[in-house]
Amino acid sequence: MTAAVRAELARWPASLKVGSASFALIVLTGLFAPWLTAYDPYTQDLANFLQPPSWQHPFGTDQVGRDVFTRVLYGIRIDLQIGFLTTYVPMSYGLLLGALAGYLGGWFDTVLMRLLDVAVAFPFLVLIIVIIAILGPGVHTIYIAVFILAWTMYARLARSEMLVERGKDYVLAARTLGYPTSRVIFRHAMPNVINSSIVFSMADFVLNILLVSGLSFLGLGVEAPLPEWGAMIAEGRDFIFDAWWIATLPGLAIVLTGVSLSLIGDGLAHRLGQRQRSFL
Amino acid sequence: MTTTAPLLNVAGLCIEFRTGDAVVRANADVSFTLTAGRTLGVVGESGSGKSVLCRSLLGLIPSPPGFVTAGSVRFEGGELLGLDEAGLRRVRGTAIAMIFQNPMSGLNPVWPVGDQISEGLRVHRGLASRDARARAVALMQQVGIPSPEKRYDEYPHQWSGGMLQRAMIAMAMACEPRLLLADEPTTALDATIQDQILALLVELQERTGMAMILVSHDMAVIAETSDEVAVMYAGRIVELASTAAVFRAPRHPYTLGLLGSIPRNTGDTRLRPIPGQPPNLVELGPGCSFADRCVFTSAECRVTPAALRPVGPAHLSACLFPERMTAASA
Amino acid sequence: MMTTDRENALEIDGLVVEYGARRGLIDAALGRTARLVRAVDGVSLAVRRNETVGLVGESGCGKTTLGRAIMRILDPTAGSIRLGGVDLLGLRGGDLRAMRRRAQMVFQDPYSSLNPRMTVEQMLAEVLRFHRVFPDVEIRGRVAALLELVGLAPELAGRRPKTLSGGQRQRVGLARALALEPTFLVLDEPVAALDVSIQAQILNLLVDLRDRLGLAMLFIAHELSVVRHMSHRVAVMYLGRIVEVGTAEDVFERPAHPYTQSLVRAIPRLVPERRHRKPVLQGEVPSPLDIPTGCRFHTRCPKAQDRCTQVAPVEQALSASHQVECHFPDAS
Ligand SMILES: Nc1ncnc2c1ncn2[C@@H]1O[C@H](COP(=O)(O)OP(=O)(O)O)[C@@H](O)[C@H]1O
Ligand SMILES: Nc1ncnc2c1ncn2[C@@H]1O[C@H](COP(=O)(O)OP(=O)(O)O)[C@@H](O)[C@H]1O
Ligand code: SF4
Ligand SMILES: [Mg+2]
Ligand SMILES: [Mg+2]
Repeated sequence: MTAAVRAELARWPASLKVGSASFALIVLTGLFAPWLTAYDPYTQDLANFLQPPSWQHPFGTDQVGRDVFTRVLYGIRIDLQIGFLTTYVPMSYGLLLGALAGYLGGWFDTVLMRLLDVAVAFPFLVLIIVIIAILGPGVHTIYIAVFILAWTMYARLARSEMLVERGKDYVLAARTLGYPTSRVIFRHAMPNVINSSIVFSMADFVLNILLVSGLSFLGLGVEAPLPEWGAMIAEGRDFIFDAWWIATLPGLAIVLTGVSLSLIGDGLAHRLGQRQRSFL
Repeated sequence: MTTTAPLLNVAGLCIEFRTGDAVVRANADVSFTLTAGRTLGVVGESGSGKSVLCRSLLGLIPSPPGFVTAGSVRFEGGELLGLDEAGLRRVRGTAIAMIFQNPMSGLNPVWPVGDQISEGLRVHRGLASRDARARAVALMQQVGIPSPEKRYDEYPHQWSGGMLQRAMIAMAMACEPRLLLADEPTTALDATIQDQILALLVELQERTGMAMILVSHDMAVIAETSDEVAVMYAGRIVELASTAAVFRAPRHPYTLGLLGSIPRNTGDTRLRPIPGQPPNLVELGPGCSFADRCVFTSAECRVTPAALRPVGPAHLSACLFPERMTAASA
Repeated sequence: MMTTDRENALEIDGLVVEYGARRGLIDAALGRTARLVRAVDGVSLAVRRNETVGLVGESGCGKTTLGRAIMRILDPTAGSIRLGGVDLLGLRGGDLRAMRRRAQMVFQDPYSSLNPRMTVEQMLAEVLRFHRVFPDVEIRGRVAALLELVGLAPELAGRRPKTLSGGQRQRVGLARALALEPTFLVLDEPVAALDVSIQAQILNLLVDLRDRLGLAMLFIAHELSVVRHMSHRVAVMYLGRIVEVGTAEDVFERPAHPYTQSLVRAIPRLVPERRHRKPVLQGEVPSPLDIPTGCRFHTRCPKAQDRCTQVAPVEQALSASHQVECHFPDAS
């Protein structure tokens, strides 16, 4: 088993190794946040507001004296959770619907394609803002809005991959062996369809964190005391010249997370896309 | 043939591909000569180094991972190896041209076919657009493309595989090369179209007097079109002789095995295939690379380097013990 | 020629298979009908027990389509397919699944016909387990027996297709097809993608298995020498129809249809002589979207007369075993 793990690791490109290591570090930091800092992310300390970075407060304090480092650490939990849910929930049913449409064709495919066409015809962000306007701001609204809209990319990807796989001989072979359609789709074709979606999901993860941060920055997302990175940047923007650390350091956290995930995505694309190398 | 100096002289050519820690010896000590107007057939199974050989003659080996580690390629007396891009460009297309196995991928999908044929004339010959077009139309006519004026402006996807291969041939012939490299030109085509393309190549050769290297994995194609045959195995030429000699009295067990693998309607339901698989080019030992699959093998075969050497008049074989074959068939 | 005979493993009668371009909503709204490609256009053919029938023709003539229709991966528009006397087209669900055990297929491309994510053992065990041919405890042994049957070393069982050579993959494909102990095999160009030396190994294996297991086969190929080597009888296909059928001798020694004659002559021979030749056939196969009137070969036929352009020839028998579809066959 360890030999198999080692062999697999040996095949990882450097970007995948570096990306996963730094992402794992971010996740661990988030998990162990309470042990890594002596402060609480919500407790205000009005006596010590707008302190620049120091040994006591490595990232300084904000306008109500909360420790920015602590808030950035706790922010990991919130932002990663948001990123994870907004990426993988839509991916699960997007994949399913797209793959089914690609394999089955017929009216199901026609209806789904029309839905997808309608979905791309509207700008994503505008739709989200409309939904937020109807339901009111907050994390839950963002979840609902993203769950309604974000599956279309995955459905499109899975459908086009499935159209290719469906015609391959191994799928035909599974059919000639008398396997029922569900088995042909899920056991045989599906595992070969999901690669592109997995690679895409890494980029999507980053974009979703940015989206939620952006919405929070605009006051449409996560609400005030929660230490969400975008919300923190929004709060810090009024002090950007006097206390640069309040907005900049959460921004750095977003960048670091984004870079790690992009590295993983890039590495996965190489690792999973590694087909038989053919000459000509 | 009045000229005796060979058009092409390849000597001791070695080409490696280095990927990771693995070194693939794609061509090992390849040597042959080719005279103007003649055809050398190169036959061998996939991965034996046929395409690498053709590409190396035009400096088309991607480097890295490919490296020419030894040897020389002299064309009309001048050395081709080590030429810079400018030097290679002067040779490519004008003196030596190449056609590929897959005509679809050899043509640019977003350009009209006719323009791709006339491009060489504009670039190498400096013809004006209109003259180049007229010449390209004439070429298309010569290679048997019907109504060339009309089809000049069509795109590759509108053409069949056979027609595209004709277009590739027209492109290759545009500047009247002295040597044509045809890398499996008919492998992707159907029998009746293969027949048309082979007939076309033979006709063009007779008309222009060019030399040709014709690569194929099909022994019968080689038998019908070549003057001499080089049989390649695991990056080496293992037998080199006139076509008649190779087919009537092969002197390498691999050639014999290839011929035994082909169904020939003798009423015998069993073929005599070569046992085993082609070797991994990364792990070749010091001896003959065919030793593992050879029916005449012995302990010496695995340790003694097997170089191409004369075994009869104008007949070269890399087998260490060619007499074992004659003894067996006697 | 069609007789319902219990000696026949497979009987196809008047089979038509069409591909339709997918129709969009707008086309449907405007009442446009899809343009159909008739890839198989009225084919009748029988394969007897223990017999191998070769099917040859240039690419695009409908060989694969015919093979897939027999396997019911494609649904024919018209005609009938009987396997061991049972009408395949009437079967659904469980009956169809049971029927699948009797007819199996080997695919052309050894690189795409195996699921890249499954090991050899998983693939074979899945077939056996799913069809409950054997109790679970026997499956391992049975997989080993299958591997041995097709000449694969037992240690390959844990490998995934990517690490196998083309010849080994084709053996796995064959083992998978044989797992259900079929009586009839469709082999769609099973050796076209392999090197000659490996091709010969597989051909020998096929001959062995056929004799040992008493298999009937439809052997599809475009290489005439291979078809001749493998087949008792041979059918020649052109643009969706069988234009000549007979024993291997009939077809290769006494070809009567001008197309068969050209095909036989176009094949390079293993004779080391430079052939100064004219190509035997001019032009290319017409598009199946627009099949010529009359005889579908008349656009390329060296013997075509006026009648050929207007009247489609009907099949005529030259002997008990030899039928041809041409107005002017060579009856030598
Ligand atoms: N670009 C490349 N990178 C790595 N290996 C290569 C490359 N091109 C060819 N090779 C190796 O060189 C060997 C010979 O290949 P090739 O000349 O294409 O064989 P053939 O044309 O006879 O089928 C093969 O083993 C192949 O893996
Ligand atoms: N999925 C498809 N959709 C539309 N046309 C097809 C499809 N598959 C094959 N065809 C057409 O049907 C004809 C017969 O194809 P095929 O049976 O694959 O021929 P062969 O196996 O003899 O090469 C060809 O003209 C081909 O273009
Ligand atoms: S019917 Fe006429 S056109 Fe058709 S094959 Fe016979 S002679 Fe040729
Ligand atoms: Mg090649
Ligand atoms: Mg086919």
